[in-house]
Amino acid sequence: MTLLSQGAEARVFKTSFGLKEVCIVKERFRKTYRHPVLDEKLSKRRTILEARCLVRAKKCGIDAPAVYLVDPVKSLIYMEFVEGETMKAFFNRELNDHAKRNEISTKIGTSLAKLHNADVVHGDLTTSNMMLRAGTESVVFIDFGLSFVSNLTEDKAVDLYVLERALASTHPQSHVLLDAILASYFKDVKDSKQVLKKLEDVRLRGRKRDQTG
Amino acid sequence: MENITQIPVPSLFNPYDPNAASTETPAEAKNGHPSVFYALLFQNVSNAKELKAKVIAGDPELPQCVMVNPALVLSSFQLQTACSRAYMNQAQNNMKTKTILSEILFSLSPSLNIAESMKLFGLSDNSNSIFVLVPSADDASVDETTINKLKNLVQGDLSPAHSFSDLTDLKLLKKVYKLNDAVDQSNTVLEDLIVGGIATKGFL
Ligand SMILES: Nc1ncnc2c1ncn2[C@@H]1O[C@H](COP(=O)(O)OP(=O)(O)OP(=O)(O)O)[C@@H](O)[C@H]1O
Repeated sequence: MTLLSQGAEARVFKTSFGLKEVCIVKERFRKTYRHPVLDEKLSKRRTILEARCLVRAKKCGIDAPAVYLVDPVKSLIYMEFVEGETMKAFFNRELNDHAKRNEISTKIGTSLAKLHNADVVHGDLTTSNMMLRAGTESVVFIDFGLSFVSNLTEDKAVDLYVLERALASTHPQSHVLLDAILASYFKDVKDSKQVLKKLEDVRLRGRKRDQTG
Repeated sequence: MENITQIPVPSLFNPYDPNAASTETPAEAKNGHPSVFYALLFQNVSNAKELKAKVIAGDPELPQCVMVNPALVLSSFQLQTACSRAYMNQAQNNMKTKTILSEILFSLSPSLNIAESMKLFGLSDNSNSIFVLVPSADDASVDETTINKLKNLVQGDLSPAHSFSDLTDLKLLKKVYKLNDAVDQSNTVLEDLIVGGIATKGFL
């Protein structure tokens, strides 16, 4: 058993799980500042929602880690260990292969449209929360820790905006990546006009907020 | 024992944190359950009705085992996750059925209805083939006595090692696990969805 990552909300371990030689166990840990009973309830609910969103995402045809076991009492999700690199690492490595960057960005948009068409809002779209599966080069969405189910275009637009901001702060030439992602996203997403309109609203609000600080 | 497939039941994860207030150590977290189930496949079974009656009556002649309908089993990992889920329920005093063996069968099923689950995933009067899951002995070895008892009880052929998906009724499986609307119908994704369903069953 090894500790892969220690985030603000969760610890991610790599271990084995019977027939699976490798497995990820994600532990949402307790917030000591919260009332223990409330905290337990929230952790439990959040763990279950994360697992359900992972399964729902897979059902709608996008690639996400398979869920093996959910332990709401200990706030654990046992899931598939995805072999590959994070999207962040990939984009940073392939700085000059524009065709490749474009190809993968297009895949991200297509997958995201599928996710939104199934009313799953990811909630934390960053290039650290996507992976590129080794071998198949499929785009894998991970970390559904803030995900929820919603059919509101507003929620989908905010999801896109979060991604837009994350790209801008993480990657040089982010607009090239973003353009390719959005082009394929809007080609496939349901109610694309409304989502686009909402995205423009959300951007405007974001800019206003930035100005007034 | 080349005709017996092993289904490991891993111990549940315990993130050991030396700074945590908990006094639980990895040693204490060791699995309090069999570490392996042995899956025997009987084919051309002629006495399913009689066996089912024994299961229902809790006949003491019948050794500790779970009898599963192979039509609804796609892979050994599916069986592993159902076992893990059942033992987790047991450890957390959260079983929905009376015994760990029925809890394994119930865990396999996506339905929350116990009777319906038993009917779908267990034996039926006219079952022609049966998977029998036998818990390992304390030292994880094959429990020979149990296996010999089963060979005497089940009128049918103990089949050699096989691929689980050979006996799957895909159409029925997809209906039962509600997988017809899954976008990707490859066996890998179907398995992932089945396992995900077992893992999240009953959690809202
Ligand atoms: N299924 C997986 N397969 C492989 N690696 C994974 C998997 N899940 C998580 N990881 C690795 O662990 C890291 C953290 O995982 P995750 O984002 O789910 O946890 P988190 O605590 O919410 O993270 P953060 O707080 O940093 O956003 C990921 O960036 C990835 O490198």
